[in-house]
Amino acid sequence: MSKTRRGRSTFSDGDVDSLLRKFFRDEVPASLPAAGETAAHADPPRLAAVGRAGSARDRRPAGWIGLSAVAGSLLSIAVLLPQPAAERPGGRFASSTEREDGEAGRAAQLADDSEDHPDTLNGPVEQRMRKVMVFDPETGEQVEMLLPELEIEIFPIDDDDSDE
Amino acid sequence: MAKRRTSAWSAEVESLYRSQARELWALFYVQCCDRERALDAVQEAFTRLHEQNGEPIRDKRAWLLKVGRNWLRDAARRKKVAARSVESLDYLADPAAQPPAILEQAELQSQVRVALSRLRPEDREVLVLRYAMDWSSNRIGTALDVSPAAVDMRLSRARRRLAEILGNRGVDNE
Repeated sequence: MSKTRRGRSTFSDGDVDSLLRKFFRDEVPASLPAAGETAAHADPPRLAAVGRAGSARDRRPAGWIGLSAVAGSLLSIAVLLPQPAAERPGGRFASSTEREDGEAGRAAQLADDSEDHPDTLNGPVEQRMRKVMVFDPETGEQVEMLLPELEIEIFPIDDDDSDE
Repeated sequence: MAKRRTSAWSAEVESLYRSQARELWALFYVQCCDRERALDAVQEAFTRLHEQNGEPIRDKRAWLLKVGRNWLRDAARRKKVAARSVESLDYLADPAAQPPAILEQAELQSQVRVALSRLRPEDREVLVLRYAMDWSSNRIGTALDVSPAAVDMRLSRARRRLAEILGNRGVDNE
């Protein structure tokens, strides 16, 4: 196919195409896993050209897993927070047993409610969600999350014992 | 010379090898244009991954790529290439024992290898991804973040340049 002779190339584009196919058929080591054994990337990771860094996309799954763990923890805390009475089926008096027992049952239910929802006697506890930006150390990016908006009221304690 | 396997790799490393080794070889080949040295870089990278005891690696592929490229750079700096036996010259040991066709083919293989090494890295990259990995223009485009049409243009340009280099080296197509 070739002769070592100085001169202009007579290779057409098709010739080079055939040449390269044949070349790499022999050049790629047979000891490497065959192409069919490679992961079927429908969307291959982005390459840098020679000298560029690896794909950031590959880091994303691990980062999102870490973020999910954080979100899961925060959401589990939100679940444990007092729920508005209106969200409970039947309102404050959700238990059918309490309704059947009348006032005594109602008082007992209120007592139970007050333990779980200390603000219920003074009115429903509002549960608002607000958007916050949270820094994800895995990816180094700011991520938007919904978190419960808590309001903590602080009342000064009077330690004056003069009335005793 | 890269480390050869002296002990079995873990199942995870073996699995990663099966899925990533070929692609990593292609990327190392783009860098060094030497099939054996690229293979050594692959072996070195996976051996180091197996032996690595530090913090868990989040992006193993990027880590392997970095380790392999660094190893290739160090190897080139140490100029150990000259000391390596060059497979393409083995046929010269006793040319008379080889049929002319095989000799001619080996010579052509050597010429193409040299011509590839003379290309710009970005031209070599698209050729390797197409012809060594058999990737489509779509897939190459995704990997390089360019359109398939741009990939086709790059391939055409790279082939043309390769033909020019072969012509300048006296390699002709008959």
